[in-house]
Amino acid sequence: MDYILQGFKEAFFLIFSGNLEIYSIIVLSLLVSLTSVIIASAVSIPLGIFTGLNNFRGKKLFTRVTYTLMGIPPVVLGLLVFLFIARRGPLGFLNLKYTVAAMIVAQTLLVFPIILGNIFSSVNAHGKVIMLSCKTLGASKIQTLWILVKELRRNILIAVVTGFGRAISEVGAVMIVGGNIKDKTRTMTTYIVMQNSMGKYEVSIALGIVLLAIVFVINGLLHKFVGAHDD
Amino acid sequence: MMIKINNLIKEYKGKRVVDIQALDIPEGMVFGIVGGNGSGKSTLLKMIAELEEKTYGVINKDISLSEMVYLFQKPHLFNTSVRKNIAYPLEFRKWDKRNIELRVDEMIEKFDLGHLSHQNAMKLSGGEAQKVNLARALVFNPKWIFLDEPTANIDPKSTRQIESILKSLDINMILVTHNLNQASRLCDHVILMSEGKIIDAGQPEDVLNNEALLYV
Repeated sequence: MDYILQGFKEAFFLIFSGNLEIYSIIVLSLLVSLTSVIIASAVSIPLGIFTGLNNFRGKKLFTRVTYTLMGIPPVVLGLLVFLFIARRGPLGFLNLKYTVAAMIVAQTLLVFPIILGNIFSSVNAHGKVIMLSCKTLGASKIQTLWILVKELRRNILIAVVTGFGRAISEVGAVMIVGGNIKDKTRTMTTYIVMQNSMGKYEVSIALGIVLLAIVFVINGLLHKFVGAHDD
Repeated sequence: MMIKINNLIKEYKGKRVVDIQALDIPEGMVFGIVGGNGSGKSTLLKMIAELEEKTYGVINKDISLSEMVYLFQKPHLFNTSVRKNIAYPLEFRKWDKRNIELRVDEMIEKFDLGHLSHQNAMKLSGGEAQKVNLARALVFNPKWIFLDEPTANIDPKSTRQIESILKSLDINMILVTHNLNQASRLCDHVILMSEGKIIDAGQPEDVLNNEALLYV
Protein backbone atom coordinates (compact mmCIF):
# COMPACT_ATOMS: atom_id res chain seq x y z
CA MET A 1 0.00 0.00 0.00
CA ASP A 2 2.86 2.33 0.91
CA TYR A 3 4.37 2.23 -2.52
CA ILE A 4 1.05 3.37 -4.02
CA LEU A 5 0.83 6.36 -1.64
CA GLN A 6 4.48 7.12 -2.26
CA GLY A 7 3.77 6.86 -5.98
CA PHE A 8 0.95 9.46 -5.73
CA LYS A 9 3.15 11.79 -3.65
CA GLU A 10 5.97 11.65 -6.16
CA ALA A 11 3.50 11.92 -9.00
CA PHE A 12 2.19 15.28 -7.75
CA PHE A 13 5.76 16.45 -7.23
CA LEU A 14 6.60 15.43 -10.82
CA ILE A 15 3.59 17.23 -12.28
CA PHE A 16 4.45 20.53 -10.60
CA SER A 17 8.25 20.19 -10.71
CA GLY A 18 8.66 21.68 -14.16
CA ASN A 19 10.09 18.45 -15.57
CA LEU A 20 10.54 19.31 -19.23
CA GLU A 21 10.47 15.70 -20.40
CA ILE A 22 7.07 15.11 -18.80
CA TYR A 23 5.70 18.36 -20.19
CA SER A 24 6.92 17.64 -23.71
CA ILE A 25 5.32 14.18 -23.55
CA ILE A 26 2.00 15.75 -22.49
CA VAL A 27 2.22 18.37 -25.25
CA LEU A 28 3.05 15.74 -27.88
CA SER A 29 0.16 13.53 -26.78
CA LEU A 30 -2.25 16.44 -27.02
CA LEU A 31 -0.83 17.52 -30.37
CA VAL A 32 -1.17 14.04 -31.91
CA SER A 33 -4.67 13.41 -30.56
CA LEU A 34 -6.07 16.85 -31.32
CA THR A 35 -4.62 16.88 -34.86
CA SER A 36 -6.04 13.41 -35.54
CA VAL A 37 -9.47 14.39 -34.21
CA ILE A 38 -9.52 17.63 -36.24
CA ILE A 39 -8.58 15.82 -39.48
CA ALA A 40 -11.01 12.95 -38.83
CA SER A 41 -13.83 15.36 -37.90
CA ALA A 42 -13.31 17.49 -41.00
CA VAL A 43 -14.08 14.48 -43.17
CA SER A 44 -16.39 12.38 -41.01
CA ILE A 45 -18.85 15.12 -39.93
CA PRO A 46 -19.92 16.09 -43.50
CA LEU A 47 -19.77 12.45 -44.59
CA GLY A 48 -21.88 11.33 -41.61
CA ILE A 49 -24.48 14.03 -42.33
CA PHE A 50 -24.61 13.15 -46.04
CA THR A 51 -24.86 9.39 -45.52
CA GLY A 52 -27.32 9.77 -42.65
CA LEU A 53 -29.69 11.96 -44.65
CA ASN A 54 -29.64 10.21 -47.99
CA ASN A 55 -30.67 6.80 -49.17
CA PHE A 56 -28.18 5.18 -51.50
CA ARG A 57 -27.30 1.75 -52.78
CA GLY A 58 -25.18 -0.12 -50.30
CA LYS A 59 -26.27 1.96 -47.28
CA LYS A 60 -26.75 -1.18 -45.19
CA LEU A 61 -23.26 -2.40 -46.06
CA PHE A 62 -21.85 1.05 -45.34
CA THR A 63 -23.52 0.99 -41.91
CA ARG A 64 -22.17 -2.45 -41.06
CA VAL A 65 -18.62 -1.66 -42.19
CA THR A 66 -18.61 1.65 -40.27
CA TYR A 67 -19.93 0.07 -37.08
CA THR A 68 -17.40 -2.77 -37.39
CA LEU A 69 -14.52 -0.34 -37.85
CA MET A 70 -15.67 1.58 -34.74
CA GLY A 71 -14.52 -1.38 -32.72
CA ILE A 72 -11.25 -2.13 -34.51
CA PRO A 73 -8.49 -2.95 -32.00
CA PRO A 74 -5.88 -0.15 -32.07
CA VAL A 75 -3.03 -2.70 -32.25
CA VAL A 76 -4.50 -4.21 -35.40
CA LEU A 77 -4.89 -0.81 -36.97
CA GLY A 78 -1.37 0.14 -35.86
CA LEU A 79 -0.05 -3.03 -37.43
CA LEU A 80 -1.83 -2.30 -40.73
CA VAL A 81 -0.51 1.26 -40.85
CA PHE A 82 2.96 -0.04 -39.93
CA LEU A 83 2.88 -2.56 -42.79
CA PHE A 84 2.06 0.24 -45.22
CA ILE A 85 4.71 2.67 -43.99
CA ALA A 86 7.47 0.14 -43.27
CA ARG A 87 10.51 0.44 -45.53
CA ARG A 88 9.33 -2.44 -47.72
CA GLY A 89 5.67 -1.34 -47.62
CA PRO A 90 3.80 0.47 -50.42
CA LEU A 91 4.27 3.84 -48.67
CA GLY A 92 7.78 3.09 -47.41
CA PHE A 93 9.27 5.81 -49.63
CA LEU A 94 7.58 8.43 -47.46
CA ASN A 95 9.87 7.53 -44.52
CA LEU A 96 7.02 7.82 -42.03
CA LYS A 97 8.02 4.96 -39.76
CA TYR A 98 8.55 6.07 -36.14
CA THR A 99 7.47 9.64 -36.81
CA VAL A 100 4.80 11.89 -35.32
CA ALA A 101 3.14 12.00 -38.75
CA ALA A 102 2.71 8.21 -38.69
CA MET A 103 1.13 8.44 -35.24
CA ILE A 104 -1.30 11.09 -36.49
CA VAL A 105 -2.17 8.92 -39.51
CA ALA A 106 -2.85 5.89 -37.29
CA GLN A 107 -4.95 7.83 -34.78
CA THR A 108 -6.87 9.61 -37.54
CA LEU A 109 -7.81 6.25 -39.04
CA LEU A 110 -8.74 4.97 -35.60
CA VAL A 111 -11.08 7.83 -34.62
CA PHE A 112 -12.52 8.43 -38.10
CA PRO A 113 -15.06 5.56 -37.96
CA ILE A 114 -15.94 6.42 -34.36
CA ILE A 115 -16.91 9.99 -35.22
CA LEU A 116 -18.49 8.93 -38.53
CA GLY A 117 -20.57 6.15 -36.96
CA ASN A 118 -21.87 8.38 -34.16
CA ILE A 119 -22.79 11.24 -36.51
CA PHE A 120 -24.34 8.87 -39.06
CA SER A 121 -26.50 7.19 -36.45
CA SER A 122 -27.87 10.47 -35.01
CA VAL A 123 -28.51 12.04 -38.42
CA ASN A 124 -30.13 8.81 -39.61
CA ALA A 125 -32.44 8.86 -36.57
CA HIS A 126 -33.34 12.56 -36.34
CA GLY A 127 -32.23 14.20 -39.58
CA LYS A 128 -35.27 13.53 -41.71
CA VAL A 129 -37.82 15.07 -39.37
CA ILE A 130 -35.63 18.17 -38.94
CA MET A 131 -35.23 18.46 -42.71
CA LEU A 132 -38.96 18.14 -43.36
CA SER A 133 -39.76 20.70 -40.65
CA CYS A 134 -37.30 23.13 -42.21
CA LYS A 135 -38.67 22.51 -45.68
CA THR A 136 -42.26 23.21 -44.70
CA LEU A 137 -41.21 26.35 -42.83
CA GLY A 138 -39.55 27.70 -45.96
CA ALA A 139 -35.84 27.12 -45.29
CA SER A 140 -33.37 26.95 -48.17
CA LYS A 141 -30.97 24.01 -48.42
CA ILE A 142 -28.17 25.94 -46.76
CA GLN A 143 -30.48 27.14 -43.98
CA THR A 144 -31.70 23.56 -43.48
CA LEU A 145 -28.13 22.30 -43.18
CA TRP A 146 -27.33 25.00 -40.65
CA ILE A 147 -30.40 24.14 -38.56
CA LEU A 148 -29.54 20.45 -38.79
CA VAL A 149 -26.04 21.06 -37.43
CA LYS A 150 -27.43 23.33 -34.70
CA GLU A 151 -30.08 20.80 -33.69
CA LEU A 152 -27.60 17.93 -33.63
CA ARG A 153 -24.73 19.92 -32.07
CA ARG A 154 -24.93 17.86 -28.90
CA ASN A 155 -24.59 14.60 -30.86
CA ILE A 156 -21.78 16.05 -32.98
CA LEU A 157 -19.90 17.23 -29.89
CA ILE A 158 -20.32 13.89 -28.17
CA ALA A 159 -19.04 12.13 -31.30
CA VAL A 160 -15.95 14.35 -31.44
CA VAL A 161 -15.25 14.06 -27.71
CA THR A 162 -15.66 10.27 -27.88
CA GLY A 163 -13.12 10.26 -30.71
CA PHE A 164 -10.73 12.41 -28.70
CA GLY A 165 -11.11 10.17 -25.66
CA ARG A 166 -10.26 7.17 -27.79
CA ALA A 167 -7.23 8.92 -29.33
CA ILE A 168 -5.68 10.30 -26.13
CA SER A 169 -6.08 7.03 -24.24
CA GLU A 170 -4.90 4.77 -27.06
CA VAL A 171 -1.55 3.00 -26.76
CA GLY A 172 -1.36 0.10 -29.21
CA ALA A 173 -1.31 1.95 -32.51
CA VAL A 174 1.03 4.78 -31.48
CA MET A 175 3.40 2.29 -29.91
CA ILE A 176 3.68 0.28 -33.14
CA VAL A 177 3.95 3.13 -35.65
CA GLY A 178 5.67 5.67 -33.35
CA GLY A 179 8.03 3.35 -31.54
CA ASN A 180 8.00 5.29 -28.21
CA ILE A 181 11.24 7.10 -29.08
CA LYS A 182 12.46 9.50 -26.37
CA ASP A 183 12.01 13.19 -27.22
CA LYS A 184 10.46 12.23 -30.56
CA THR A 185 7.43 9.97 -30.50
CA ARG A 186 6.87 9.30 -26.81
CA THR A 187 3.29 9.92 -25.64
CA MET A 188 1.69 9.69 -22.22
CA THR A 189 0.27 6.24 -22.81
CA THR A 190 3.40 4.68 -24.29
CA TYR A 191 5.45 6.26 -21.49
CA ILE A 192 3.11 4.88 -18.84
CA VAL A 193 3.47 1.36 -20.28
CA MET A 194 7.24 1.67 -20.40
CA GLN A 195 7.67 3.12 -16.91
CA ASN A 196 5.26 0.59 -15.48
CA SER A 197 7.25 -2.30 -16.95
CA MET A 198 10.36 -0.80 -15.33
CA GLY A 199 8.60 -0.54 -11.95
CA LYS A 200 8.65 3.28 -11.90
CA TYR A 201 5.08 3.68 -10.76
CA GLU A 202 5.28 7.34 -9.74
CA VAL A 203 5.75 8.47 -13.36
CA SER A 204 2.94 6.18 -14.50
CA ILE A 205 0.66 7.55 -11.78
CA ALA A 206 1.60 11.15 -12.61
CA LEU A 207 0.77 10.73 -16.27
CA GLY A 208 -2.35 8.74 -15.40
CA ILE A 209 -3.52 11.70 -13.31
CA VAL A 210 -2.79 14.10 -16.16
CA LEU A 211 -4.67 11.87 -18.61
CA LEU A 212 -7.69 11.72 -16.31
CA ALA A 213 -7.54 15.48 -15.77
CA ILE A 214 -7.52 16.10 -19.53
CA VAL A 215 -10.54 13.87 -20.08
CA PHE A 216 -12.28 15.54 -17.11
CA VAL A 217 -11.64 19.03 -18.46
CA ILE A 218 -12.82 18.07 -21.96
CA ASN A 219 -16.01 16.55 -20.53
CA GLY A 220 -16.56 19.61 -18.34
CA LEU A 221 -16.22 21.89 -21.36
CA LEU A 222 -18.68 19.72 -23.29
CA HIS A 223 -21.26 19.88 -20.52
CA LYS A 224 -20.79 23.62 -20.17
CA PHE A 225 -21.22 24.15 -23.90
CA VAL A 226 -24.23 21.88 -24.28
CA GLY A 227 -25.76 23.13 -21.04
CA ALA A 228 -25.48 26.72 -22.17
CA HIS A 229 -27.70 25.91 -25.11
CA ASP A 230 -30.22 24.03 -23.03
CA ASP A 231 -31.47 27.12 -21.20
CA MET B 1 -57.47 28.75 -56.61
CA MET B 2 -57.79 25.13 -55.71
CA ILE B 3 -55.88 21.89 -55.48
CA LYS B 4 -56.73 19.40 -58.23
CA ILE B 5 -55.65 15.78 -57.99
CA ASN B 6 -55.80 13.27 -60.83
CA ASN B 7 -54.87 9.58 -60.88
CA LEU B 8 -52.66 9.91 -57.83
CA ILE B 9 -50.90 6.75 -56.76
CA LYS B 10 -48.41 6.08 -54.00
CA GLU B 11 -46.77 2.70 -53.57
CA TYR B 12 -44.52 1.48 -50.77
CA LYS B 13 -42.55 -1.66 -51.55
CA GLY B 14 -45.12 -2.75 -54.12
CA LYS B 15 -48.11 -2.04 -51.87
CA ARG B 16 -50.54 0.65 -53.04
CA VAL B 17 -51.21 2.97 -50.10
CA VAL B 18 -52.91 5.83 -51.96
CA ASP B 19 -55.03 5.46 -55.09
CA ILE B 20 -57.15 8.46 -55.95
CA GLN B 21 -58.88 8.92 -59.30
CA ALA B 22 -59.90 12.55 -58.95
CA LEU B 23 -60.18 15.03 -56.11
CA ASP B 24 -60.73 18.79 -56.09
CA ILE B 25 -60.02 20.72 -52.92
CA PRO B 26 -61.51 24.19 -53.19
CA GLU B 27 -60.16 27.17 -51.29
CA GLY B 28 -62.02 29.06 -48.61
CA MET B 29 -62.97 26.09 -46.48
CA VAL B 30 -61.75 23.57 -43.96
CA PHE B 31 -61.37 20.36 -45.91
CA GLY B 32 -61.26 17.19 -43.85
CA ILE B 33 -59.62 13.88 -44.69
CA VAL B 34 -60.99 11.21 -42.39
CA GLY B 35 -60.04 7.56 -42.09
CA GLY B 36 -58.62 4.88 -39.86
CA ASN B 37 -54.98 4.01 -39.28
CA GLY B 38 -53.22 3.07 -42.51
CA SER B 39 -56.00 4.49 -44.70
CA GLY B 40 -53.47 6.67 -46.56
CA LYS B 41 -54.79 10.02 -45.33
CA SER B 42 -51.49 11.32 -43.96
CA THR B 43 -49.58 10.11 -47.01
CA LEU B 44 -52.05 11.96 -49.25
CA LEU B 45 -51.57 15.16 -47.23
CA LYS B 46 -47.78 14.82 -47.33
CA MET B 47 -47.86 14.42 -51.11
CA ILE B 48 -49.98 17.56 -51.44
CA ALA B 49 -47.48 19.40 -49.22
CA GLU B 50 -44.56 18.04 -51.29
CA LEU B 51 -43.07 16.27 -48.29
CA GLU B 52 -43.54 12.88 -49.90
CA GLU B 53 -42.84 11.81 -53.48
CA LYS B 54 -45.76 10.46 -55.44
CA THR B 55 -45.36 7.27 -57.44
CA TYR B 56 -47.64 8.42 -60.21
CA GLY B 57 -50.27 11.06 -60.97
CA VAL B 58 -50.84 14.79 -60.94
CA ILE B 59 -51.33 17.28 -58.15
CA ASN B 60 -52.11 20.70 -59.60
CA LYS B 61 -51.98 23.68 -57.32
CA ASP B 62 -51.19 27.25 -58.16
CA ILE B 63 -49.44 27.87 -54.87
CA SER B 64 -45.74 27.67 -54.17
CA LEU B 65 -44.05 25.81 -51.33
CA SER B 66 -43.45 29.08 -49.54
CA GLU B 67 -47.18 29.84 -49.35
CA MET B 68 -48.14 26.64 -47.57
CA VAL B 69 -47.19 24.98 -44.33
CA TYR B 70 -47.53 21.49 -42.89
CA LEU B 71 -48.17 20.82 -39.25
CA PHE B 72 -46.82 17.45 -38.15
CA GLN B 73 -48.75 15.26 -35.77
CA LYS B 74 -45.83 15.28 -33.35
CA PRO B 75 -44.48 18.83 -33.32
CA HIS B 76 -40.79 19.07 -34.01
CA LEU B 77 -39.73 22.26 -32.34
CA PHE B 78 -36.15 23.41 -32.48
CA ASN B 79 -33.92 23.24 -29.42
CA THR B 80 -34.11 26.93 -28.60
CA SER B 81 -36.55 29.39 -27.03
CA VAL B 82 -40.23 29.53 -27.96
CA ARG B 83 -39.69 33.03 -29.32
CA LYS B 84 -36.81 31.97 -31.54
CA ASN B 85 -38.84 29.00 -32.80
CA ILE B 86 -41.63 31.30 -33.92
CA ALA B 87 -39.12 33.66 -35.54
CA TYR B 88 -37.43 30.98 -37.67
CA PRO B 89 -39.82 31.01 -40.69
CA LEU B 90 -39.36 34.79 -40.91
CA GLU B 91 -35.59 34.49 -40.69
CA PHE B 92 -35.72 31.90 -43.46
CA ARG B 93 -37.60 34.49 -45.53
CA LYS B 94 -35.01 37.13 -44.64
CA TRP B 95 -37.38 39.55 -42.93
CA ASP B 96 -35.56 42.40 -41.20
CA LYS B 97 -35.02 42.12 -37.46
CA ARG B 98 -37.47 44.81 -36.41
CA ASN B 99 -40.34 43.34 -38.38
CA ILE B 100 -39.50 39.86 -37.06
CA GLU B 101 -39.70 41.16 -33.49
CA LEU B 102 -43.03 42.88 -34.11
CA ARG B 103 -44.59 39.88 -35.84
CA VAL B 104 -43.35 37.41 -33.21
CA ASP B 105 -44.76 39.65 -30.46
CA GLU B 106 -48.08 39.65 -32.28
CA MET B 107 -48.15 35.84 -32.53
CA ILE B 108 -47.10 35.38 -28.89
CA GLU B 109 -49.97 37.60 -27.80
CA LYS B 110 -52.48 35.96 -30.15
CA PHE B 111 -51.58 32.47 -28.95
CA ASP B 112 -51.24 33.51 -25.32
CA LEU B 113 -47.63 32.32 -25.11
CA GLY B 114 -46.20 35.29 -23.22
CA HIS B 115 -45.36 33.26 -20.11
CA LEU B 116 -43.45 30.71 -22.23
CA SER B 117 -41.76 33.08 -24.63
CA HIS B 118 -38.21 32.65 -23.29
CA GLN B 119 -38.54 29.03 -22.25
CA ASN B 120 -36.75 26.29 -24.20
CA ALA B 121 -39.26 24.74 -26.57
CA MET B 122 -38.05 21.23 -25.76
CA LYS B 123 -39.37 21.59 -22.22
CA LEU B 124 -43.00 22.30 -23.13
CA SER B 125 -45.97 20.01 -22.55
CA GLY B 126 -47.67 18.39 -25.56
CA GLY B 127 -50.43 21.01 -25.69
CA GLU B 128 -48.06 23.96 -25.30
CA ALA B 129 -45.73 22.53 -27.94
CA GLN B 130 -48.57 22.18 -30.43
CA LYS B 131 -49.63 25.79 -29.77
CA VAL B 132 -46.08 26.97 -30.46
CA ASN B 133 -46.00 24.73 -33.52
CA LEU B 134 -49.18 26.36 -34.80
CA ALA B 135 -47.93 29.88 -34.05
CA ARG B 136 -44.68 29.10 -35.88
CA ALA B 137 -46.58 27.69 -38.84
CA LEU B 138 -48.83 30.74 -39.15
CA VAL B 139 -46.27 33.45 -38.45
CA PHE B 140 -45.49 34.05 -42.12
CA ASN B 141 -49.14 34.23 -43.21
CA PRO B 142 -49.33 31.10 -45.37
CA LYS B 143 -52.26 30.75 -47.75
CA TRP B 144 -52.76 27.06 -46.96
CA ILE B 145 -52.17 25.06 -43.84
CA PHE B 146 -52.08 21.26 -43.80
CA LEU B 147 -52.77 19.72 -40.41
CA ASP B 148 -51.96 16.09 -39.68
CA GLU B 149 -53.84 14.99 -36.55
CA PRO B 150 -53.03 18.25 -34.73
CA THR B 151 -54.57 17.16 -31.44
CA ALA B 152 -53.72 13.46 -31.47
CA ASN B 153 -51.22 13.59 -28.61
CA ILE B 154 -52.64 16.28 -26.39
CA ASP B 155 -55.06 16.58 -23.48
CA PRO B 156 -58.74 17.61 -23.87
CA LYS B 157 -58.23 21.15 -22.55
CA SER B 158 -55.40 21.84 -25.02
CA THR B 159 -57.46 20.19 -27.77
CA ARG B 160 -60.27 22.68 -27.13
CA GLN B 161 -57.79 25.58 -27.22
CA ILE B 162 -56.21 24.38 -30.48
CA GLU B 163 -59.62 23.82 -32.07
CA SER B 164 -60.81 27.27 -31.06
CA ILE B 165 -57.66 28.80 -32.60
CA LEU B 166 -58.19 26.79 -35.78
CA LYS B 167 -61.83 27.93 -35.98
CA SER B 168 -60.77 31.56 -35.72
CA LEU B 169 -58.34 31.34 -38.64
CA ASP B 170 -59.13 32.80 -42.01
CA ILE B 171 -57.00 30.45 -44.07
CA ASN B 172 -57.39 27.52 -46.46
CA MET B 173 -57.06 24.39 -44.39
CA ILE B 174 -56.81 20.66 -44.95
CA LEU B 175 -57.24 18.65 -41.79
CA VAL B 176 -56.36 14.98 -41.48
CA THR B 177 -57.98 13.32 -38.51
CA HIS B 178 -59.32 10.01 -37.29
CA ASN B 179 -61.44 11.88 -34.76
CA LEU B 180 -64.92 12.02 -36.28
CA ASN B 181 -66.26 14.51 -33.73
CA GLN B 182 -63.38 16.83 -34.44
CA ALA B 183 -64.02 16.53 -38.17
CA SER B 184 -67.68 17.46 -37.70
CA ARG B 185 -66.76 20.37 -35.41
CA LEU B 186 -64.15 21.87 -37.72
CA CYS B 187 -64.69 20.80 -41.32
CA ASP B 188 -66.92 22.22 -44.04
CA HIS B 189 -66.40 19.25 -46.32
CA VAL B 190 -64.87 15.83 -45.69
CA ILE B 191 -63.69 12.82 -47.63
CA LEU B 192 -63.62 9.38 -46.07
CA MET B 193 -60.62 7.20 -46.93
CA SER B 194 -60.06 3.48 -46.59
CA GLU B 195 -57.15 1.44 -47.96
CA GLY B 196 -55.89 4.41 -49.92
CA LYS B 197 -59.17 5.14 -51.68
CA ILE B 198 -61.90 7.72 -51.21
CA ILE B 199 -65.03 5.84 -50.26
CA ASP B 200 -67.28 8.79 -49.52
CA ALA B 201 -67.30 12.57 -49.72
CA GLY B 202 -69.62 15.41 -48.76
CA GLN B 203 -70.87 17.42 -45.80
CA PRO B 204 -69.48 16.14 -42.49
CA GLU B 205 -72.93 15.25 -41.10
CA ASP B 206 -73.71 13.15 -44.19
CA VAL B 207 -70.38 11.37 -44.49
CA LEU B 208 -69.85 10.80 -40.80
CA ASN B 209 -73.22 9.12 -40.47
CA ASN B 210 -72.43 6.85 -43.38
CA GLU B 211 -72.70 3.15 -42.71
CA ALA B 212 -69.39 2.66 -44.49
CA LEU B 213 -67.68 4.12 -41.43
CA LEU B 214 -68.46 0.93 -39.56
CA TYR B 215 -66.06 -0.87 -41.84
CA VAL B 216 -63.26 1.68 -41.74
